[in-house]
Amino acid sequence: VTVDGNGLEVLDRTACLPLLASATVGRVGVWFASGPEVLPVNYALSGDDLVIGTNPAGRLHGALGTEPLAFEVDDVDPAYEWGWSVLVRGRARHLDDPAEVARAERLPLRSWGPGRHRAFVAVALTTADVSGRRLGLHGIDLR
Amino acid sequence: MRTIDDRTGLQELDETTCLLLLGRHTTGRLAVVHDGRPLIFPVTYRRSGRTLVFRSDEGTKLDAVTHGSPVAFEVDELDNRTHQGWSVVVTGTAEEVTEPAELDAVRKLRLEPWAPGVKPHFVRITPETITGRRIVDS
Repeated sequence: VTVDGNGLEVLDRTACLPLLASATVGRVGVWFASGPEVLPVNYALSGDDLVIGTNPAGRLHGALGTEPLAFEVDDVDPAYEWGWSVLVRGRARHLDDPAEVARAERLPLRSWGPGRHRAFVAVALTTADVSGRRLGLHGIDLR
Repeated sequence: MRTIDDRTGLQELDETTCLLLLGRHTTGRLAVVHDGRPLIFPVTYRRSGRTLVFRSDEGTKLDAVTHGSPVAFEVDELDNRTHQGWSVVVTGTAEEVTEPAELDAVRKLRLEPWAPGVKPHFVRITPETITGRRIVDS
């Protein structure tokens, strides 16, 4: 078990994947010229891809095709000093191919708010940096 | 206040509502740039007036924010079953609190980080923008 400077257990890629698969909402961070932005998004895993539902008219959708992104998912309970977080860092690509879009539309990716997701981006988990931390979950084998 | 964003169809929240929601929660996600790439991590925070304060050890978090660097901070409450909820996003700058009177004040915020470690440093986020959205299933 590796512990970081904050006393948190360090999770490798293998241990992070089931945690990524266990949630449906994450936060995406992108750096715009005007500064940083962080927004909650719906996501789902599809093979080796992390697929994020976006609004094609939104600023985020445009930036995600060009800028490096950070994607974070967590479940933290400060009262019980319990929690985990997973961070994915890399680049996303817009899903443009009709077959890929059709596949994304079948994922359990429900839009928050009115309407459905009309666009998707994908992050290839095989090439992205995937790292995690956890606390108070010793004894749960994530492999 | 009920302003609907034409683009997203979500109800926009005014700043007062956002500040009230920020005061009700203690866990948020901080986005900073480190080595030219964005980084996000969960932090335990408290709202103090119109600012947000969190504790930090030496390391990535503090390195990334010591010089009034731009940051984004997000807090939300999203119910996966009903698909209702809200999210508040603050953008602004972060700086370590070093002035003695200010340090006394932030020490009284009952700011207990979720992670162990000493975390002797207090960092304050001063917002430039505070925006929020309420999600109501239509």
